[in-house]
Amino acid sequence: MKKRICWFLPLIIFLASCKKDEPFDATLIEKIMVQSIYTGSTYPVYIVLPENYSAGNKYETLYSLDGDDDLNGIKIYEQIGWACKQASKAKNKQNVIVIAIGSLGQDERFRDYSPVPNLGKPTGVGGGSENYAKFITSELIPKIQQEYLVDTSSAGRIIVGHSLGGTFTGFMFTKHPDVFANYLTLSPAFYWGDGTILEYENENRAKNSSRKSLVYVSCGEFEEGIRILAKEWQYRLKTYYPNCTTDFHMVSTAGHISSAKESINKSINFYFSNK
Amino acid sequence: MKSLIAIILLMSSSISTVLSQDAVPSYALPKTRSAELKIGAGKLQPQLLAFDFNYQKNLTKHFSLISFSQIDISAWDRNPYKIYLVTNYFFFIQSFGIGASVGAKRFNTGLSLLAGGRFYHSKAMVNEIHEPELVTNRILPELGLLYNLKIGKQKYYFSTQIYLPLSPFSAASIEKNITLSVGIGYKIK
Repeated sequence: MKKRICWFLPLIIFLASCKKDEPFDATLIEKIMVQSIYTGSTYPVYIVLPENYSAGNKYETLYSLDGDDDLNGIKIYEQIGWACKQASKAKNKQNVIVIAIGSLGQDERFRDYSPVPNLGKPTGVGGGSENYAKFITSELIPKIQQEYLVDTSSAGRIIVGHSLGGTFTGFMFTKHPDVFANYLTLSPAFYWGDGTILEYENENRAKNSSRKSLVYVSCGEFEEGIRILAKEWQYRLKTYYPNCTTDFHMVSTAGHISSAKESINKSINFYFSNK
Repeated sequence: MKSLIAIILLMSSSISTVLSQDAVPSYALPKTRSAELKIGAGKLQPQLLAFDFNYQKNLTKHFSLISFSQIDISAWDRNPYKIYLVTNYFFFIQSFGIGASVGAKRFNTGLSLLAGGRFYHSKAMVNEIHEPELVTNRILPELGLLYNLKIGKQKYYFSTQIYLPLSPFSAASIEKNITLSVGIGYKIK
């Protein structure tokens, strides 16, 4: 009998250590469809409301790109909603409304998130970021402000993007800094278009450098091409943007996909710690 | 393209060597030993060339101990998805494990569970930025599965394998760099 217990004990300990994050309450999630005249597409948008969402409050809004992508069996909007709930509780701050913009397909993703057509493979795709930015600023944000109890200042808006979505957050920081004041830039693909975002940063530095923003940058240890440019981004933020509060996190022994979950959780913690 | 030519050359030389030999005892004898030299490429990172050396010692007819070594190097430093960047990789994997196999005379196919370590080296370079070089050196624990197929009745035989690393990228299967290699084996007996 003792021998059997000795065999089963490590198994029980192992299974106990495999604890999953608690499931997210589905009743807090609403799905709407938003049509854009700028991009010509209709996007699924998932709204994750905070618990005890009620009149009399003004909630900050967190806009997520790739919002309905799957992350090891959990949707991005669920992961973000869960992380916001945990962080807001831990920091004793009011939770946010998550606005997760769903994906349409790979072609539309390249079109919307990339500011210029790519020079590497896939060649020539992209270049629709300006229209996508117009969709967010002129169509989605006004709709959300009309239908939900939200803080309408840019300080009350956060954008989070991973990979090419991270490139788009860099695009908004450099080209449309009035829309969001908080940027969670996760594994940004700044190599896209031969480093276009870094060029935009350089071109717009003089007029943007006094802005007050929260910027979080993260990536996996084994995504070297992304890491070298994420570090450059962090260096420029620290050097040229004195009013920016910024942090950089490298997820140890992780690649592009395996770093995403930890990056999301850490970035949201960063936001709630510094807002 | 170069790696494809190298693989085809190695395969043809393996097959011609295999066909021109005297018969030797089967794969499934206890205490049979074999050594294999192979070349291959990665699935996720096709720019990585893999060079493999396996040493196998049978414990019984169907179970064996195996030593697995793999060197992965960048065949070219330009990633077609990231022309702005130059990246070079070098990995060395040394693992030991135990495997089960079936097949005696004409072929032998088996699966082994391996554990060991990996030396991971990479260098990324981008011009005109503050720190234009990023070097990563890490020693990591390695766990993997090796599928091996041996074909041929002679002392030299044709062999192919698939190596599936289970770690360090345990959390995301998409990032596992599965390698497919082909080459020649030699029964030491």
